Amino acid sequence: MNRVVFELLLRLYPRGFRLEYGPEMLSVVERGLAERERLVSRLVFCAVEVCGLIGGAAAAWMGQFQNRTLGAAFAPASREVARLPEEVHEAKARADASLALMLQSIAAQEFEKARRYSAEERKQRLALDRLKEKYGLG
Amino acid sequence: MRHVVADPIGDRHKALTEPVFLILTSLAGKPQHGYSLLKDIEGLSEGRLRLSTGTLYGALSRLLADGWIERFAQKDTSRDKQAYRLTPLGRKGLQQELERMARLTRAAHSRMKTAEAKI
Repeated sequence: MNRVVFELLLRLYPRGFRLEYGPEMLSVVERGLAERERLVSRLVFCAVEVCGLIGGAAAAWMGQFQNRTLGAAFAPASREVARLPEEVHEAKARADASLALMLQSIAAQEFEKARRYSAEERKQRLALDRLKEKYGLG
Repeated sequence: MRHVVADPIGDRHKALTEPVFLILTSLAGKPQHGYSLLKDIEGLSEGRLRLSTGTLYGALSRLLADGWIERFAQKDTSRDKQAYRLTPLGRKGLQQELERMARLTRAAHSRMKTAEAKI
């Protein structure tokens, strides 16, 4: 039940952010919840997390908006990323997320999972290459 | 996304927010993953500050974008965890912040002493 609620809240985040940090954030929330046995303590924890996730999602969207519109003036380190078309940015985030999951699986010696993520990463990289070609990004 | 510092390498360095300062302080000791960062920050702030997951990952994503921290897969764990560690740029930024805070502390002490002397 709690997992479903938090998964829904994570959907408030921009897609790129969610793909990159979503599974990790969910695991942190679940560990925090599992540590609390008393009902009151669980309720307080859930309330804080819900507010934090809503506020965090708003901040992530604001950040994305700033990168798109004011990025050149206020976010010098993200200039190159801000210039990329949205679908290229998302494809890159998906490929990076698959790579991270593959490395995690290897570290955990879950090789079957690692092979799946590796295939997924190859697929995402090919899609990314096609998009780069489409936008002439080399 | 709003950046933590506008000029990460230069001397004109904006004050870090408390959550960001505590994240960097926590990572200065050793690499940590998300949950252990939350617990360590709670301990560092003597229980005064308990970051929500949303706040933690918002700050982590900004620090990653600024190149102050980096992410890597931890090898010694069976769980799916990404660990974070300070980069040399992040260490330099934290050092600058500590120096800024030390200057402020000295100035505050000096003014307190002057005021006490007048009383």
